[in-house]
Amino acid sequence: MIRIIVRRVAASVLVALGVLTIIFIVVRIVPGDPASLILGAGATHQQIEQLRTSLGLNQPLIVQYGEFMINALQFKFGTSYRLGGDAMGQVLQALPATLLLAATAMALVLLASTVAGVAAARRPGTLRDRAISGGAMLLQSLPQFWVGIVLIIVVSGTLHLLPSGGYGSPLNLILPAITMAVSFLGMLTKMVRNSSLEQAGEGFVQTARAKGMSEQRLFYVHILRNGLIPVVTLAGLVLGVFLGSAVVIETVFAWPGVGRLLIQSILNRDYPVVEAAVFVFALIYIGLNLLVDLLYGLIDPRVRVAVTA
Amino acid sequence: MNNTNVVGPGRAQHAQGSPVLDVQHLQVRLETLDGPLFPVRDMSLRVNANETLAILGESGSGKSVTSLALMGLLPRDTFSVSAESMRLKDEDLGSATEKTWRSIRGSRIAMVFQDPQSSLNPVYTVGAQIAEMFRLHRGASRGDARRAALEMMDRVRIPDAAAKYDSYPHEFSGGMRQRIVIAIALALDPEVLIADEPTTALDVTVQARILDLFKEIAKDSNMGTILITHDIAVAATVADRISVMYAGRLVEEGPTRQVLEQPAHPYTQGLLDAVPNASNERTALIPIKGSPPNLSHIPSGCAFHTRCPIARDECALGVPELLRVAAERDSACFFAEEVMTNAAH
Repeated sequence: MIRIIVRRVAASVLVALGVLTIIFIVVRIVPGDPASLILGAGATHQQIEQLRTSLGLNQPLIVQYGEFMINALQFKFGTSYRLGGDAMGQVLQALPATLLLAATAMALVLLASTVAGVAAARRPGTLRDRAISGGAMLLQSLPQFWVGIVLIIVVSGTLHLLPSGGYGSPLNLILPAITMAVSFLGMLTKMVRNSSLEQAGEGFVQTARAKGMSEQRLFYVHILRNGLIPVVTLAGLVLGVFLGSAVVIETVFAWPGVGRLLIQSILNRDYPVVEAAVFVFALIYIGLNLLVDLLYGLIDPRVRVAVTA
Repeated sequence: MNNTNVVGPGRAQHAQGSPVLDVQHLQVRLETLDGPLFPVRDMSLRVNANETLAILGESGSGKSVTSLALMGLLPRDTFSVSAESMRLKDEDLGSATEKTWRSIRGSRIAMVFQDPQSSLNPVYTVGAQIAEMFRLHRGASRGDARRAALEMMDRVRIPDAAAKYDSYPHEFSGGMRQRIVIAIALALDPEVLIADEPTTALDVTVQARILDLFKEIAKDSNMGTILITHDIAVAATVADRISVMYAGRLVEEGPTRQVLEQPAHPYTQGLLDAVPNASNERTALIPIKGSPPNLSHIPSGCAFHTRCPIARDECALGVPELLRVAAERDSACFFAEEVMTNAAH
């Protein structure tokens, strides 16, 4: 088992290095010169050149790349052009807000989709099932930014129930978390339902039924555990996607997380912060995938062996 | 191998007249969008304690549906089961509610399914799946259930049971898995064991060992066993009596040896001619012409007449009843005596 973990971790490090390279390239390709942005429209050519030199922007690309990689591996992305201070420090400061939002949304998705998916799968073909499946389909097809805006207009604007944005109290968390959860709530509900129903046709279900147990026990003990296996994989990926959607949702709800920081930094060509933020997101995503791989073995014994072999 | 007189005390006692399971004129109706189908049209069976009855038939003959009906496992929304009588000893299965069925299933009538690859739950240990029987029906504690399950693993000849208890199904071979499935079925000492093609999915050598296990179990216990198979050799090895099904109907019934040596139905004769055995090893095998009828287009009269080598005009008109044609022998063929006479030569 330890050998597998080491192998997976090594693979993850390679992926991280690849991500850093891509970050470097993309940020250099994007048009717009940070030196002129920092100095503003009134700056002289000489001033700009001076700043470019001090930022190392006039070095050959390959030298910039080498320095970038060496520094990045020590989590040094330089000083934020816009905010001053360490770029990585800025990102880490914003990270808890994003994690709180993503974790809340994840809890919401897992809980609600399991409950709804099970409710549908227990009575397939009934009105209840159709309502849940139809609702799930609807939720899945709603664009997130639209859901966010509608929630703000209806819940905060018209009904005055919850704040439309900001940070600090649990009340602020509710709308952005729901917005983040909505589309995956639909997807995972359908997944729980379909994957459970698929299991219900398996031979072991017939064996279990022949043992003489209640349909309830049959479902919760024998079917559901098998049905949830693919859901776990998907849940891991969803958490990664949440980080991506944080960019939009945090902007809509003025939530002070990494997503909003990233957007603001991109708009201001604040390269160090952009690089640090993307790298942090990538690390989290890689870590999640690693975790899902290892967790998978816990629920599905077949994987444990397949991985060991 | 069959109807031998080596009988235990239990067998002598039960051999006559007191069947554990007695089903008369079973019919299973399946509702479809194109109208009802009848996977089982007329099936009767009687199994005594300490006796093995083989139900022989091709796929589509209704033998598996019969076994599911006997377990009360056919979904009630699409299937309806009716019978003139359906009794498990004193229990009237015909009027059993789902709750009654649940207490019977697994504990009084148990079943072994065909495919050991899929009949065990992949996420639980094999031991736990046996132990579940004791937890479900006897309310046993974890420890007691574990001990009882280990005992069952020994009984089905799983070597080193204590070490294998916590293995998962995928770590077992097909034969070992089937032993676990058998252990589950036998756990509560059922009165009737139904085995639906228990060896079909296994390698030939493994088949033989599993069949040996069945014989051994049948000898040691007092239960009635129903073995569902399409394989005459399997039926010949373990069964005391054979029932032959064709297109949802019982067409022949009798003691194994007599049925195999002198069949009383042309379908049985056809099955025998189609497999190699000692008497026809030097002649070409003769397949039964045509294929089993589709459920939605069952021929009129005797359903077999379209494939029957001796069919005459009346075969297409009337349905031959199952009649006694010799001692302990029943056949649903108008010309049963002719078939038997020909077979004797």
